[in-house]
Amino acid sequence: MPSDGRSDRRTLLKRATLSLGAAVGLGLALPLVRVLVFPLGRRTVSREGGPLDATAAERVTTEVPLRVELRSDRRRDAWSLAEGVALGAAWLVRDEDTGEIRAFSASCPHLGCAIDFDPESGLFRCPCHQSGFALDGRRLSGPAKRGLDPLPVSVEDGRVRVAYKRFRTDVAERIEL
Amino acid sequence: MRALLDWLEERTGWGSLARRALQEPVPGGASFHYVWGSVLLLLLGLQALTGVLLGLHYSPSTTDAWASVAFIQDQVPLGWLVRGLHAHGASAMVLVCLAHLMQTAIYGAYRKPREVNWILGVLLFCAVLAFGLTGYLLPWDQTGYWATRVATGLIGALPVAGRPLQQIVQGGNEYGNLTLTRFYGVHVFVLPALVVVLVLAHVALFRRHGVTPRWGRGEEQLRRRSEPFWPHQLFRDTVAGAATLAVLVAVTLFTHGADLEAPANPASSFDARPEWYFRPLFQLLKMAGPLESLVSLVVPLLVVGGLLVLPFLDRARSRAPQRRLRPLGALGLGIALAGGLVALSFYEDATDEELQARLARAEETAQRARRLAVENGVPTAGGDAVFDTEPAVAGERLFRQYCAGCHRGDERKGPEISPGYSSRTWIEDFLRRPSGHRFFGVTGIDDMRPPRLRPPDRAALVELIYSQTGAEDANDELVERGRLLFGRGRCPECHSLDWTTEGDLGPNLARRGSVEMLVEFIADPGHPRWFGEANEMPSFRDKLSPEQRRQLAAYIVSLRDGEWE
Repeated sequence: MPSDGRSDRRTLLKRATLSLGAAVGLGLALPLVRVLVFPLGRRTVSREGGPLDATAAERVTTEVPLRVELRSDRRRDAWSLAEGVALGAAWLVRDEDTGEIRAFSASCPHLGCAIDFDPESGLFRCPCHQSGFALDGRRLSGPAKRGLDPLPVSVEDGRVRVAYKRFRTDVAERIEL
Repeated sequence: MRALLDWLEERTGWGSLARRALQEPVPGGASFHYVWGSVLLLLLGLQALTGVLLGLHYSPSTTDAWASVAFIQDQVPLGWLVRGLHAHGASAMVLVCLAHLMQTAIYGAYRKPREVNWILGVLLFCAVLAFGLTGYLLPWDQTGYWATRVATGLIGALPVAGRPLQQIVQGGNEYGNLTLTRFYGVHVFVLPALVVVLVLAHVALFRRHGVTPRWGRGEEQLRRRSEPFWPHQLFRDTVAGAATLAVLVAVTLFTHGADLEAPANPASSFDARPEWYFRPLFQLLKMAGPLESLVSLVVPLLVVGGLLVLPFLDRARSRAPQRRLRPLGALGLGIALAGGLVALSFYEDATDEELQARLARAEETAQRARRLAVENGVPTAGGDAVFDTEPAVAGERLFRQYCAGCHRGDERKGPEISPGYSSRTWIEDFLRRPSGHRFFGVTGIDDMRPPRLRPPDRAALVELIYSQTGAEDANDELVERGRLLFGRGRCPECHSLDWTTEGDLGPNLARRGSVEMLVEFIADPGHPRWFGEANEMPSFRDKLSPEQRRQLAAYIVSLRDGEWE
């Protein structure tokens, strides 16, 4: 078709419509996507306070590991503030040689299932995908990429206190969340 | 009426549209083989209806989710039925999707020119699975919580964008309120919108190309035996839909709806299991060992990718299945493998006795949580706090934290307090050897000598002490006899039986082991009414609130009904 005024006008209208639409779409998309990805790298769940009171030190023996629940003093979960909520659990083991207490997060370094202790084999075991760990936390078998995650532990006035942490799952390095 | 319809028709054209849709010819005649798509539409409608009803009662937050689902399940009339239909309906959709997919494949209905519609179908199947995955978390019960953590953990382990993707999906660094609102938003808004669009396109394309009749018939034959959609095909669709619904309702009634596990508790341990349709992947993960990242990423990609390209691989001249053994064989093998993995996974679970024992315990916990939710309501602190509404359960937690160190295990510093404590057997055992290692032998208060008693007198004295705990089944006659014996024997030299006397050599035994006595005793065991200066136990007045002491006392009293070994 020969180029005439009407055709030019039509081309201009097409371009203008598409540009205007794209501009409006982009202008809308930016804030919307920002909201969508807002949790990136953000500590949406956090807690205050230091190490958590776990149990009496004399309950931790060399024979069988002891499972303790760790409850937080104050925990922020996005908009809500809660007190005394269960954060997670830890396994306490007393070293046969030194007598020192060690704590491991009960959250499997593989994909975060709760680690169990198998009294028959004397090993830690994950019930989900069968990773096995020694009493000192070493990885023995299964899909986990690292050993159990140690947690800082201290004994004050005969009470065991554990600093609760979570780590990235399914990676070889230990990266705190 | 007629006039009204004509009026409407003139202005909308809807009548002729409906007539065209209903009179659409089915070449080769109607068949039960073509029902699956309609059954899926029916199930989808049911999911939407039940989903809306659930949404009218559900609250997506970590503190309310479990409570609101427990409310639907146990308190909304027929709520369990609606929730059960929704949950089992999801399973039904997966099954019928597979049937639909198989029928389409066997008839070669994905072949040119219908490839795009096959692709839309595969995407719809993925959307159905995504519905299942996101819906599983929403009750915020143990199963949903732990299984979904595995799923998002797998996302986080993906190469390159895994971690950011995980954060966007779970709404931050950890599981919390934003995880639920995001899963809820996707389940209730995003996926339904997506599915509506895909279904419209799917049905429109189906109408454009028409049904793919059975292979091996000539065009003339197909035309001759063609029947209109209404009523020939729609009748068959309705029969199949009714049968599917009947099965679904029967299963829902038989199972009394879907399971609801105990509220999610990150500090507990739970054997996470996904819905059955994710079991193939679950089982593969279990078996994969170090190949896991391969399995979790490559296998799903291969499956979906394989399905997507199937129409382009099937280049056989004939549509007859016997001429297309390779694509059909691959598809059949894939489904058989998946089915085998599902069966293997359930078999391994069923033969694992320890797992079964743990599951039975978990079921007990779930039942208790639901009973408490009905009886007492769920505290605003969250689903898990429902246990605190039963004082003895909260007390057990306190006991483990504050008391077990001295009153349980081999390193005890005080009398053992375990199931059967203060029961008749316990009292009798105590009277035989008060300084035994399970009693006061581990303390400095070990100077009580066992009273010498004839069996009937012993029973009477045991009953007297037992009655102090407030036990309702104490035998009054025996108690009275015990009281006489107590007064006549040597007991009063060290013990009193009235609440007011203080400063005896031994503790005052009035109301011993009852809730009101324990609440006071735990606050101040060195009170002159009890151990006075001989006391070795710390006071818990400052460490435990009166409410906590009451919970602890309730737990200790509840031990009385256990068995002392």
